[in-house]
Amino acid sequence: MVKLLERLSTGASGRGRWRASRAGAFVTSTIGALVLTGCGDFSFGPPHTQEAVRSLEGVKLIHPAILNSADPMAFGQPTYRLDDQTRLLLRFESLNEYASAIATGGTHRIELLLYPTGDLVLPEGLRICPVAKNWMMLATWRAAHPFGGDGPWLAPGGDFHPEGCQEPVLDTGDAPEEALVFDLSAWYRDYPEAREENFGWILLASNPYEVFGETSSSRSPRVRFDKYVSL
Amino acid sequence: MLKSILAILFFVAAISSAATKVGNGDDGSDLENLQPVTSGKLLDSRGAAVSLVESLNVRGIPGLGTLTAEIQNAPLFLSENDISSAETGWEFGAGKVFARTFATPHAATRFFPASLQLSKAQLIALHVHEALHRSLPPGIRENERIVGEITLAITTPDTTHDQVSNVVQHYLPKNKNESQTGKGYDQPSEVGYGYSHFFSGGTISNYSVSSLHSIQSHLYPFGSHQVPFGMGLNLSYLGTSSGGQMGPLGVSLRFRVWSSRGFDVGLWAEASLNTLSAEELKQSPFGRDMITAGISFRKDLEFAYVENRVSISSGGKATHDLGLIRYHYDYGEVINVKLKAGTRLGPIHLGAYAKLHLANYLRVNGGAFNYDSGRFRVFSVGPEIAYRGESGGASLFGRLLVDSTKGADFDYLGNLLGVGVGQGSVGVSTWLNF
Repeated sequence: MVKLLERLSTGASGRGRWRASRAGAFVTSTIGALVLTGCGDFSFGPPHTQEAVRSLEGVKLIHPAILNSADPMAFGQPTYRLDDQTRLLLRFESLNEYASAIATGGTHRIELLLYPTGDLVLPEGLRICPVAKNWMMLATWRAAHPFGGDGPWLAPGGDFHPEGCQEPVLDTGDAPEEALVFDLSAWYRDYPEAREENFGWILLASNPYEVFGETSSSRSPRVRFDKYVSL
Repeated sequence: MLKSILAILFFVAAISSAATKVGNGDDGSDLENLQPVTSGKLLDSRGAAVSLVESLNVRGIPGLGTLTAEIQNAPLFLSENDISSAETGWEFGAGKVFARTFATPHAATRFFPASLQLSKAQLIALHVHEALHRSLPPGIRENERIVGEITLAITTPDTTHDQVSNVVQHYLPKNKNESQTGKGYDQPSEVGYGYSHFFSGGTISNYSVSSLHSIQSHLYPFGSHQVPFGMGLNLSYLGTSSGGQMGPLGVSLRFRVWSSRGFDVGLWAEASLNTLSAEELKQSPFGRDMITAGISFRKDLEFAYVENRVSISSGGKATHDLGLIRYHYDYGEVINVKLKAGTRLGPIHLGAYAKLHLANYLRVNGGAFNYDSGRFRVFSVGPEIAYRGESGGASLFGRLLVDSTKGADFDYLGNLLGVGVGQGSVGVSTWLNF
């Protein structure tokens, strides 16, 4: 390496010195890059994340009186009115597409946002619970889906794990989209990550409560999470 | 006397219009001095002959349909003089002729005095023999050996219907112009209408399917009488909870074969094409095309029928939009096996069938939902009451799902036109043959 520098510097005085300085810089930076990359996972700090918000695709109303599995009033609505006999199945159907990019742990959260049609106050008796059985948009009060002998819910009204239920907090956020926020971080860890299951959630209300539906442009049920992005 | 003259004139006319070979070697030289038979052993023995053939139900034997009438209604004449002959056979004995007839329908039987010496059993056989000359199909009615064999089969003590039928079928000519009750198809083409009402049908769709109307036309312009070949069209219309809409269109190729053992064999291939628009397709998991090919074997007995039918239906795909999610349906191949049997009371058929569908799979995927049934079966039974006349008919039928794996029903087969939907159906159909 030294001899190379010497040879380059013994050329014509001006040109030789110019060549030597270029070569030196090149060699130095090359050596530096090799050393640094050889040190393993090189980063200048924590990975970059960016907040992402995605609307839920899977939204299905179930009620004992809705017998038609494809009743048009049970999905595709601007609002849904809930009560102790009316529940809402919710699922982020595309979760699998973002699984590798969702940041978890530390301060990262994955949250469900629901927008009430009335005043933003914390309702009593409103909670979401993780659904325990795979369902589809033909779900009813009695069955998660119409296929096979395991289509019916074990208990009418939907199968869910009560120990995983979450109550909302208020998120004034960026006005005017004020929402009820449900922390799904534990759910994400326990179901999609641990069990590779995404059966979504069921929204239960002890008292009448109305929320915006999936056809609302800015207030549809949605998930919010931190997504890894590349620089 | 007048009757004799008329009879003679009748015979002369018959001779002049008949084939060149007259009856059993009869040249009509005995047409003189004929007296109609009005009483006596010749009439008594004819009555006994009629009773004999009726007890054997020869009307139901192909080729002997008119034998009873020929025995019963043919005029009987007695000649005054015997005729000598060196021939031997049923009509001959001791150098004399017992009886003669012309081998044409409705001709008279001419007895000779020598026949009055015969026993009652011999006279019965003679009546049968002469009537066979007139009632059997052309080509064999003048063959003394064949007519004699059949006479023997009928008059042998303790003979049975089946024994007579076997002998007759052995000698019947095998050609294209045989009747439908024998071999071949006189009127294979068919147009008709059918209606089915489904129970709990199409619940996996955006709308429930409650009924299906179909108009079908199966024409056989090609091939032969025994092997017709043609095509069929089947237009359908669905009754649903959201009103009516066009159902699948069926286009088929059909091939029928009448076997030498009396089986009606059918081959068909049918394409069931969905007629839904792109928008309508999204609202139904049944909007797919499929092809079914199969073979059927049917045997019609005197008082019963049996039919076996085997077919295979192709797999296919369909999409179904529900809200913001598109579900993809993937239907696997299906093997269909049907066994039908029943009893026949003339044109009335009373029967039942059992049908098994063995399907490869049904897979449904959409969003985060996926379902794979794996192989499954759907087993159904049903009654069938039909009237099948020569020119058409009608039927009432039912289909009831009695067993299936994994909670499957007819929706899983995605075959609206073939098996319908839901838990079963009842229906009616009517058709014309030509």
